[in-house]
Amino acid sequence: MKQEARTTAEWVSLAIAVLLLSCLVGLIGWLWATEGDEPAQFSLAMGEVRQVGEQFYLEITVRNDGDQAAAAVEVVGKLDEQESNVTLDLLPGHAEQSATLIFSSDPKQAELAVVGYSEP
Amino acid sequence: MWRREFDDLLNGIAGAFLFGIPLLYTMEVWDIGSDLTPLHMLLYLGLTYIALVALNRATGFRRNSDETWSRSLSDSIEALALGALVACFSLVVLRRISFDLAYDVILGKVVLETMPCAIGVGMANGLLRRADDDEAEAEQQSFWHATLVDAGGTMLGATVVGLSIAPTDEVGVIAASLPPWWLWLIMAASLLISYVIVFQAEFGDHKQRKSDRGLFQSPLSETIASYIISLVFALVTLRVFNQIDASTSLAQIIDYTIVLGLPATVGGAAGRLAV
Repeated sequence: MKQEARTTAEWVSLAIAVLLLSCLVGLIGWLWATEGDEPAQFSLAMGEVRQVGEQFYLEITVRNDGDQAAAAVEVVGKLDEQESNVTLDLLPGHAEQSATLIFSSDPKQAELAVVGYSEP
Repeated sequence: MWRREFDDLLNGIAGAFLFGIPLLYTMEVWDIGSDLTPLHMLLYLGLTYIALVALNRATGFRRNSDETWSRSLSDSIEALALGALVACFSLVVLRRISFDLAYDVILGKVVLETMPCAIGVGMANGLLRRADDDEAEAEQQSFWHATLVDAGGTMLGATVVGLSIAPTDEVGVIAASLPPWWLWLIMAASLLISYVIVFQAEFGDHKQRKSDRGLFQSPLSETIASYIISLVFALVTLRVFNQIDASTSLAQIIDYTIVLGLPATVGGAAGRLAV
């Protein structure tokens, strides 16, 4: 079979491909190097409150400071006698997600806690 | 020279979409991708590369190139990179990755979706080649007959893909995560992808079509006509599976139809290649 020489264009696209893939592999390597085994641990922050009719919608941000992902993360908010809760499907390590809890009075004083999660 | 290289790369991209779209619309792949360890990511990329070398020995995405080992090895590198680009692009358009996600989640999803896309690149020639006698046959067809055949192929392909994606939750999940203006982006992407596939299938080898082939004659009108047909069939399949009914708001109907329109139009393009 006759060997066809590569054109400049082919060399250029090959070079770009190699560059892209080395970036990808490099990023994965960097992830590997900085990877930890810390189990999931959470921090909570209160956001804005908006009033809708008689109810108060409290926006919260749940952050997973651990390295491992958590599933079915349950957040409970207590205010006097009331209890509201919300469940997050999946919260990967070092990621955060917003959710909303609904109360029937102003939730400035509400106590928030993550009460449980399962391994994904 | 540059033109031919560009053609070959577009050919690969068309193959990636044809083969990769069903898995890009699969929630399980996103979830598994979110949970990959770096070791697995490298392993999967390596496995895909080996599969690509085998595919490039057989079909590949370059036209008119001899099959030497060194070329198969380097083509496989390019196929993997093209697959990664297509996966990245699609995940961004479908809003499955964004910069507020953790890096390992983004990389995991990209790596996992790169696998089917890159395999699609490796099979591009096999997926996109129209038989030569098909062209000869087309020359004898009348305007309306040719239009009907292409429209039928589009409906068939759009329905097959629509039927496999419409009953699942992915359409709703994607639609719910999009701001309204994002739909324009999805429409633009649908038209662009459809155009690339159509153009590569029809004109990729610099073969100008000689005959009159009805409404689907030029790549541009073919792309637009097939997109409209695909949207209609996306809507029909959504209705068949009760994803939308009389009580659904107009906004949601539009959301769902356009989100399903993307895979439907890719399916439609595949359908036209098949008939």
